[in-house]
Amino acid sequence: MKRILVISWFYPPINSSEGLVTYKLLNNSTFQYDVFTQKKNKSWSYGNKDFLPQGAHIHCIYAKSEYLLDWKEEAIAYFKRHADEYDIVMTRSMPPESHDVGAAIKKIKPSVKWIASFGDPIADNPFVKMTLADHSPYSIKNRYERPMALREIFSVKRELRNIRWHLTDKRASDKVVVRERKSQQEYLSGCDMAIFNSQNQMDYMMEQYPKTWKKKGVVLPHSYDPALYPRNSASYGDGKIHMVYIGHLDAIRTPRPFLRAIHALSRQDEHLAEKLCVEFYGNMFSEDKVYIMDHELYDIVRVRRPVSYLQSLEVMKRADWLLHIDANIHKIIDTNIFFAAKLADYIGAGKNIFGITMLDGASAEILRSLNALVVSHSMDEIRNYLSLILYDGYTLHQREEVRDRYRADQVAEVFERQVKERFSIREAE
Amino acid sequence: MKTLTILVPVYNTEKYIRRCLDSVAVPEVIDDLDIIVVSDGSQDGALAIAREYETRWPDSVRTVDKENGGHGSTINKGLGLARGTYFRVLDSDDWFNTTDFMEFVKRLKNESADLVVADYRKEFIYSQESVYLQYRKLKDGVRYEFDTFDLELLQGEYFVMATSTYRTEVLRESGLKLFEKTFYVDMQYNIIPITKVKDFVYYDLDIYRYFIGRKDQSMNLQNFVRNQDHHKKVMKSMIGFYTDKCQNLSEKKKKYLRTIIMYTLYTHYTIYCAYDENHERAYREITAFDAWLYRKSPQLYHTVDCMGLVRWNRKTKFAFVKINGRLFKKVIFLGGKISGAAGRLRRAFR
Repeated sequence: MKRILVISWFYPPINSSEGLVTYKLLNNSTFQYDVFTQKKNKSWSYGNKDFLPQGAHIHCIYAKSEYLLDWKEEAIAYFKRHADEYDIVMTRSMPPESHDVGAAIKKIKPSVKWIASFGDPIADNPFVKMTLADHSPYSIKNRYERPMALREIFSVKRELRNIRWHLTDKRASDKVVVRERKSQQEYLSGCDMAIFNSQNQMDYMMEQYPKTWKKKGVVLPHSYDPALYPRNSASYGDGKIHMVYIGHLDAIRTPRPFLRAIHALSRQDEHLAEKLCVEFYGNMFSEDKVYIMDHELYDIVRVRRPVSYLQSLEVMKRADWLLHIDANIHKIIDTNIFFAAKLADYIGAGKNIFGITMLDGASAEILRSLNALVVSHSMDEIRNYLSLILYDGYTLHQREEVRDRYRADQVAEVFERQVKERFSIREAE
Repeated sequence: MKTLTILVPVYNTEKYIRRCLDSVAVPEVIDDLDIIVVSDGSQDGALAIAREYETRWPDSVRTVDKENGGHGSTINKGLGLARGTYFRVLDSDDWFNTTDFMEFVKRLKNESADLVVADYRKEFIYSQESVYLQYRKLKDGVRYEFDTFDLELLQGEYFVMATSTYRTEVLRESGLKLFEKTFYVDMQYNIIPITKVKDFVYYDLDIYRYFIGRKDQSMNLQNFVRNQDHHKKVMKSMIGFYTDKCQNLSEKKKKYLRTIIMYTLYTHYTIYCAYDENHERAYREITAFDAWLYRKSPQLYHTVDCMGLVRWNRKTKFAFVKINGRLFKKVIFLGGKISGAAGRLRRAFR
């Protein structure tokens, strides 16, 4: 079997979430890979100095440019030069431009088998829909968010701008939606195998397409690599329960219900800080930081800088509980289609997981199958569980056999089996 | 004897039941509890989860697996098995606020009132709203005689399943037997036991959490239309109960029961006069029901006339229900607003 060409904008040492997912899959696979990537553009990078141990079966090819569009062109040019060397190409999104390369390769060499891996939906992404709320920057409603002088409130100019925003920008965003839908359709129709990280994501993305396309779909969950965790990790030993959140938070994926629950508990128990320590590693929306200050939770809740991937695994190992927070996107969809890659690392750490998520969907199903804690975004429910954990030693025993399903070597094995079956590759090859 | 029986009806709620049981099965009070989980022919893993709790606390948690018979059948079953002095229902997709619940159980140990009332909250998860429903004018710990207390204290509210904890004997004496395979049996639960309640006490505790996870769960108009026969069955049964069996009760109790029936009657008229898109059927059903109500209880018939929707539809002989009841409801609502504003203006000028 020839080497597989992997087109991935992110790959270690640029340790974005997508890069790490790709790394864990390839590094635990027995196939031979050439990864076309880059190591200059550090956007979306977590700890780009982390050089993770890599097997000899992976060879990285780095683009010269640090710009995405140039990288795309370089990738296509690379394939043109080496078309005979590859029969299988795998493209990874984020970003979706990788799939543009896949589509171009398919045109150059139609016999090539194209595997398109989708981290998130390209079109109609519910999270993006939540982000792009129908909120004009010129709206009079902004007076609830920032001070507005009377002159601005009654300004005809502002109102005209507001009307223009609604007439033009919305139309522009519609164009983006059309383009994204077209791209997604192109990728899914052109590829020979489509990888999704959960059944919910696959159902959501494939819903609108012909049934024959659905046969291309394979669910390949995110994974953890046991070899990357520290062997020995001392616990804090201070008698407190340590809860840790690692990763990105924003206005939508907000810890606010959790913080409100802690605030409610702290009003009942003035010595809460002696029992509980919560640490958030990574970015947090400024208003949530203000909430922590305003409600004097800083003795209990600490916001720390992002750490490298390997450090994050160490932090996970030391914690008593790992906090997982998904965005509440009920306004857009009632089923959560997202499986955060970090959750797989949480599973690998083997610690208790406190999952705040929508009760239907990917994360909830994974956590339930694992026998981990699934809590809705209700402040009251979170408070109930915090109270049980702190005062009654509440814990759940995870199912080992389910944990193993997310081990990188197991996931890689599923991937290899699928590739062999679908592309009729014999062992001898 | 245990202090409190908590009946947990289960039907395909494996996603929620752990939250429900975790909120009540707490070490501090578990010995005082008799938790009965009745699986109503549940097909998913909910019963298996409940059995984990049964294994852990065999003296306090029991599971019962029975054929599907609806929400009412689970309550009938649970009431028959109850070992607690008090009895209450906790639906398996809802939960209790544990802190207040522990306080509730501690206070309940020294209680003797027939009915214990506490507050509850609706948790709208999709919008992250939490609506607190509180009996504001009732005083914490005060015992009220049902035949003499001032109904104004309830501010038009009444005691619902989520707020009520009855003495088990009271429920049994009342002959409560809910309809099986029928929706809206909570009406029966809210009405029938009251006939035997002599006194009640209010605890200013915020216990029950009514979970509304999806937008369509609260906007259940379509469910009302789909299950209108169930609503009619329970409605007629409760009106029959009121007219036939409640006439010897005190005036206060009758007035209280009328309040509940009025609310549900309003819902009933609204189903046909505004929700049902099948106008012919709606017309046929509501005219028949209206005539039945007149025959069965002229008092209730005339009382319900105070509601604009009912009054104007009666005046027009339900003719608009045949055409577009929903639109007519909007017209009535708008008319009410205009006439209200005109009245205010008139008073201002006087």
